[in-house]
Amino acid sequence: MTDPQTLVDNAGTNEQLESLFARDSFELPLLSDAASKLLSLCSDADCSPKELLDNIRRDQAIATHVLRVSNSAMYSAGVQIVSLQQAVVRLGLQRIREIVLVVTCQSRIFSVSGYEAEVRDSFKNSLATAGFAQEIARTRRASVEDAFLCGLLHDIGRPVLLQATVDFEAANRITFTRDEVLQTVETHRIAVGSRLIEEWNLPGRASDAVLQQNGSATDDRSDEAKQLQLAIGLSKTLLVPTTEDFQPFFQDPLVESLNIYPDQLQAILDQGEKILDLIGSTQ
Amino acid sequence: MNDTERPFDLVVVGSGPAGVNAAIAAANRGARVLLIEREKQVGGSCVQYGTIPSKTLRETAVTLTAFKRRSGGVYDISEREGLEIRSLMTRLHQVVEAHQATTRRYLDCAGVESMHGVARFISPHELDIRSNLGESTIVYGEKIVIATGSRPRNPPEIPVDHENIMDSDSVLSMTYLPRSLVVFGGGVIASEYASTFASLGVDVTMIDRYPTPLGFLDSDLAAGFLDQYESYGGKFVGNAKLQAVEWDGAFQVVTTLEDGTTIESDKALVAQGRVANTDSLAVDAAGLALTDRGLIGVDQHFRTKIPSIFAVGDAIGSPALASASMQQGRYAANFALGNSGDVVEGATPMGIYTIPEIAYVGLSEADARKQHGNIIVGQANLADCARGQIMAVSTGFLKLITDETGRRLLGVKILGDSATELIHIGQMALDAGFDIDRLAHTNFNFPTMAQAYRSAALDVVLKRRCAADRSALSEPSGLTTAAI
Repeated sequence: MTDPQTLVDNAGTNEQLESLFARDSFELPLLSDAASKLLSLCSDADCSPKELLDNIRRDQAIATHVLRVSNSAMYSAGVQIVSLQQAVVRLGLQRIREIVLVVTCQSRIFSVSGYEAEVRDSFKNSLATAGFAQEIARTRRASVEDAFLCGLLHDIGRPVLLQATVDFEAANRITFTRDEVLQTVETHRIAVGSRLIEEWNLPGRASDAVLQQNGSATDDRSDEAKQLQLAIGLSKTLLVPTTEDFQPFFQDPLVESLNIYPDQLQAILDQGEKILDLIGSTQ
Repeated sequence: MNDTERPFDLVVVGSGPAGVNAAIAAANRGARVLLIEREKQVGGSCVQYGTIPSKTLRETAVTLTAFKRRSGGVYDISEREGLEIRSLMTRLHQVVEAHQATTRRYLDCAGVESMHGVARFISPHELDIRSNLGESTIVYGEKIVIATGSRPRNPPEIPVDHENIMDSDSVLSMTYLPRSLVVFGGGVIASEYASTFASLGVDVTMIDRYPTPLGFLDSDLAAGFLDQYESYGGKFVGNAKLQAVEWDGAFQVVTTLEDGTTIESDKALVAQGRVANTDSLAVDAAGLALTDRGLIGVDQHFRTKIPSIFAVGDAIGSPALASASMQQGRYAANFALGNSGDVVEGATPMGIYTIPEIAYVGLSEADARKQHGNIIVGQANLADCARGQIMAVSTGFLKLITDETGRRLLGVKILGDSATELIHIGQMALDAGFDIDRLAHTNFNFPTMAQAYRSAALDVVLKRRCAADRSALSEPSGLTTAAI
């Protein structure tokens, strides 16, 4: 039988977390090693655009920051920037360097004490999801850039809410139970993530796809949302350390809904090594 | 065999223009018809990636440019920076869905059954249909029509990634207009996309191994297209040999030519022809073989060497036009069922949806000279028509090609707004055997672009009179007048 005091404590913790997660603005922190790597690249006038962009692209938080700042009034001049490539083309490499410098110097570095593993896993999953989403889009002749963005941002709510929790705990000298935090974050991460994408003036279709990332294969969600859902599933299977069994996906109703045939799915799965390399390079 | 009451009288593989028309024609004659399609919706690549989406984008581009021209500066219209293709194509899904719904309705009304999956032959009468989940269904058809269409040809030397270097199936997946675009190719699809994007303010460079775009056309049509395309800022690099094309991994496509020229662009489009979707059909299991171009050989009835199997549309090659494919599908289905039905005769017009449009029917000027020697060509400039003036048209022409007598119509060609609509008057005139005087005396509505037919016909009449006068004044030794 559960201790009544624990129940009271749990009830109080839930309300506080719920109230915290219901607020409008959150900070998006950075990982310290990604930030320092990029600072070093930005300071090197001879650094290749490809290397700079690869590093931005591989890091969910940096990429999101760059896109968010690119869309700010100061830089965008009324143009909505919808992808990193477009950001570089429109703003130029020099401006991108400036933005990365601003972002890396001014943004908070992660201090999610007790949740480092969850945050790193979220980043890895997001990158893998982005990789698979790209390949699915390429197969379907849909927008590859959009798919990458949706994949990269689909779980952005998680690190943001975890950081907000840790900050709140520190500021108010309270401690929530780990399970309570993780459960509440899981409940709210999608809606918060979708809202943040919209607040950062990123494309509405990314916000919509992230919001609708869970559902049935036969519902009337957009193909972008179903594509994202399939990519999430594939990335989880790819990153599970002991088994890598993709066979169930050949019977997945999502595959049918997206009109992907077995040979096409196999070609997507064959990109798994490339996606693992991408993740590996960020470690 | 099917586990149903009776086998299918006709199985049609592919639901593009050819396949749909074959299926409906057969069903309307009481046949039990099965239509197989690998995409989720009917229509084929024509609806999903090709004709409908590209012409929808083109229509928006044409409307914007025409509005600017015709509003006489009353409204200052400029494309928003950062214009998204999606916003330009907000109607696209409605157009595609409407077309698919209409097609679906026609198929349902005709009682055509359908199946979703990829088909391959296992015998001259049997097909194995595989679903997305790998499930197999065997169907039996007394007769089978192959209408599998075609897909973009991706040359091995250009690394198409459908993201930065695209083909015509993926080019409209872009969610924003690039600032610059290289188009590889100089044929119909390359020219259509190049002129559409150029008119929307994209810095377009066409690169082709031939000296001019649309080189198969009469030189005046090709030159007219090039003039207009260049007026939008488009560039054409002809006689070009590619050395390398690559995405630099950061933000541009770098194209290097053998002469050392380098062209950088945000994106690239490869439009260097199409290949038939026949490779996955396993036609050998049916006793057929593909040609070395991957096409299916047929006779004048669209019948292969296997009596139960017919093929139509892009799967058999030229002319690879939706209009011709529709007619082929109807004919083949009727013939397969033992009906004489529609006979393929009459002129087939050609329409090219560049900006401006190009259309022709009958003999080209070049072919007419080869076949008939002296010819007379009557011309009307669309800018001289009252309707052309109202529409602020500044370029374009309509030409009637006649034989030496200036009476028999051999061909019509049009460059300008609505060319693909106007050409049908010429088509009807050719099919009905009208002579030029009929056109010269026809009372067209005023003001209309169709009046250009009368103007061009009168030009022919004038020229033949001049030719007759010169002939009457010529030396008895028989100096003849040259064709005008």
